Amino acid sequence: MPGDGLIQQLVTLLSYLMVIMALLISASTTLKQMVTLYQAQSWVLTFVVLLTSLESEQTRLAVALLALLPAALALAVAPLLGRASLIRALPDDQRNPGPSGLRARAAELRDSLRNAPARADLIWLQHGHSRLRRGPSAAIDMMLIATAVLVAYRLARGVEGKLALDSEVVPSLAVTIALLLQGLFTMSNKRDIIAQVIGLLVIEHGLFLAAVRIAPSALAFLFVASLFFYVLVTLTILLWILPELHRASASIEVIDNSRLSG
Amino acid sequence: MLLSSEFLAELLLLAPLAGAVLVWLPKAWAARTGDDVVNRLQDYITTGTSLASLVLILMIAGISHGALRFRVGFMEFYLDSLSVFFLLLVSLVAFVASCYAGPCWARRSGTGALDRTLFYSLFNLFHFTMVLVPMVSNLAVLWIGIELTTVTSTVLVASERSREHFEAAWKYIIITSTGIIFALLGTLFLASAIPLDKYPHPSMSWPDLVGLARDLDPNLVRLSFLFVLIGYGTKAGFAPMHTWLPDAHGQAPYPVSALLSGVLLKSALYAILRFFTITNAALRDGGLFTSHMLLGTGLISLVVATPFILKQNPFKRILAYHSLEHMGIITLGIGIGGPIALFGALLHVLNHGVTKSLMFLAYGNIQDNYPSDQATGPAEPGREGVLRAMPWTGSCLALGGLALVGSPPFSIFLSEFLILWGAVAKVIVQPTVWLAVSIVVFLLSVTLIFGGLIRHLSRILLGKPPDHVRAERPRQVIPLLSLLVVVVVLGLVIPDSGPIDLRRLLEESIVIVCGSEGCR
Repeated sequence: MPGDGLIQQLVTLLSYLMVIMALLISASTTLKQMVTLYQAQSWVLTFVVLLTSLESEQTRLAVALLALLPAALALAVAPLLGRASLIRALPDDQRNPGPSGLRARAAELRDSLRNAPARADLIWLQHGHSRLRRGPSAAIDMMLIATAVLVAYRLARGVEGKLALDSEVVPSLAVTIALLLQGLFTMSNKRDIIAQVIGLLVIEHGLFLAAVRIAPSALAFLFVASLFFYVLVTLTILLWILPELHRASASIEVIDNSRLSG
Repeated sequence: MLLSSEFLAELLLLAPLAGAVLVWLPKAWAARTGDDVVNRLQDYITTGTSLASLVLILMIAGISHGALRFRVGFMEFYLDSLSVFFLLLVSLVAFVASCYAGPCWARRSGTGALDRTLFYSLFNLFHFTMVLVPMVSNLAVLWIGIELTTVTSTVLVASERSREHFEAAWKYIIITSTGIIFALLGTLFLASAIPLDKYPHPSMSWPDLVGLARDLDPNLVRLSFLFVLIGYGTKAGFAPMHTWLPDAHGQAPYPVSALLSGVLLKSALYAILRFFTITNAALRDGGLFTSHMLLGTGLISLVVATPFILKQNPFKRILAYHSLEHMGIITLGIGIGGPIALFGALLHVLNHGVTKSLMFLAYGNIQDNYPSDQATGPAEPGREGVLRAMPWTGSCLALGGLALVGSPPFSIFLSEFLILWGAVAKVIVQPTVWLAVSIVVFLLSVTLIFGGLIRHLSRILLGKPPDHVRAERPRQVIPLLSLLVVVVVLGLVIPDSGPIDLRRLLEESIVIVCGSEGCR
């Protein structure tokens, strides 16, 4: 298709931008910054997916459909994380399973999501700190990015000089591995469970990118379908476990949610 | 033919799914019949569909020879001896655990715990996802199956809805869903390893991938196996990704703990085995790469598990660390390779699944019958004298404990002995430092763990029981005794006749796992 080269270059550029955003997410000192940067990263990924869908006629629809996922996450993540941050603990004797009936539960969810990011502002400004200081954090992040690039290019060289991967796939592979490692680092370096979820969502972005950029186009639909199932896990975390854990422990700090040990 | 393997396999998939839906029906009659009747019906549905699963897999194992490939709608299924072997374990443990689902939840109703109908439905759905995993042909769909097990089991782990339960569920879903991303990337790298110039219409179906394995790019296959081992290894509870395991197994209701430990860990191992075969066939290095990776993983798991088993911990956590140890032993057996060690490793999958379920369910009886609840601290005061207060359950726990630490004449002794025999036989022919270290660590940890568990068990079993311990009911004891019979029989003989020819199933599974390269 004419213009494929341009699309390719644009996609590569945007992928690098995602790595820079992951770096900034990791370096953020407040949850508010993290959420904003994550939303921006989701929009960039949406754009990357849409551009990729233009490249292949065969799987255009399947790949374009995948753009729904990062776009939906970009829109929904702030209210969902806001709701989880706002939930207040109730004493055991006042706890109840909540309203019964699907309609009542949906109404309750809608109410709790309304203006949640704005209402959670203060909490988000107070949390999001890292265990390590900025300098060592940034150094580790840079090292992880370098490792990702090295692994990707080492793989691309293949055996006996034969290319194992198409050259245009290599930057995407490097970005995928970088997002994976940066997300893992964010999860382990942050002190609160909301930030840990954002780390997981960054890893998820790497997976989305890999599904549309690395998978053979004939199998793209299969991997895209897998990602739609993966969203079930994300929803279980965002809609149920995270708010309930906060409600039960009255804290979003990792240290307050680490009673089980030994 | 009406009772073809294909038809039976379709029913096998349908049975737990039907159970998940059918348990909602009696709720509609609650106003007329009362909660007791509704709960009893739900209990019968759950136990009945689990029993149907067990009967169906026994029938399939009896009549099917060779691989079976069939479609249901757009999805392709593949059933060979390895799948049947894992399905047998899933169905057996699920049936016995289902016998306890009702009584267990009856004690928790009205404590802010999950709605009882929802619990039954999720229990059946969890069972369905574990049946799905060994039956699918496509490796990406296999990933979806494993991922669905996470969603259903997370809710079950947190089903008692206390702070500790949510914490355990949180760690479980965060760690395993991070792992599962690695597994999907590993699957994706394997897809990228297919040369498209030669195979313009690639497939992710396992038999197809085994067929074209020699043409796969070796570098990407190595990367794929590494990611898959990390990803599915997280779900299988290998160290150092095991940190969710003691929390989830310790906090889940005991029939769910039995399923998590007895079956779910093995479902992830099943996925690793499928990639193991492809990787060995692609690399053609005599299994050297996979062997090193698995030996390393097994050794780390054994070394990490041992001190935690020796420590004073709540008993369910100790059992969870035992799972880590036994998953390490299984991985070690696969890593050692060769027909003897592999036979031992696969047999150990079944033996550990059955024995660990016995232990979790027996301990669940104690939790249910002992007065509640002074018993959450490390020393678990108040849960003493089980042998006197609950002699049947106490005896099952004692014998199950002896089986778990590998005492003769129980089944785990046999499989551990076979793995050790395989290792020694290999070290004589091809002496390597790795193998020698594996043997030493294996023997050392098994010996230490023997002493550790006996100490924990004597604390619970002996002494004076508290007042007001409820008497055991036949329903609490009969399923335990049936599991104990399996544990004893499998320690004495590998059945090759009767309802199931286990020896043939294991031998054929080894041929499948070793692939075209054969076992060396």
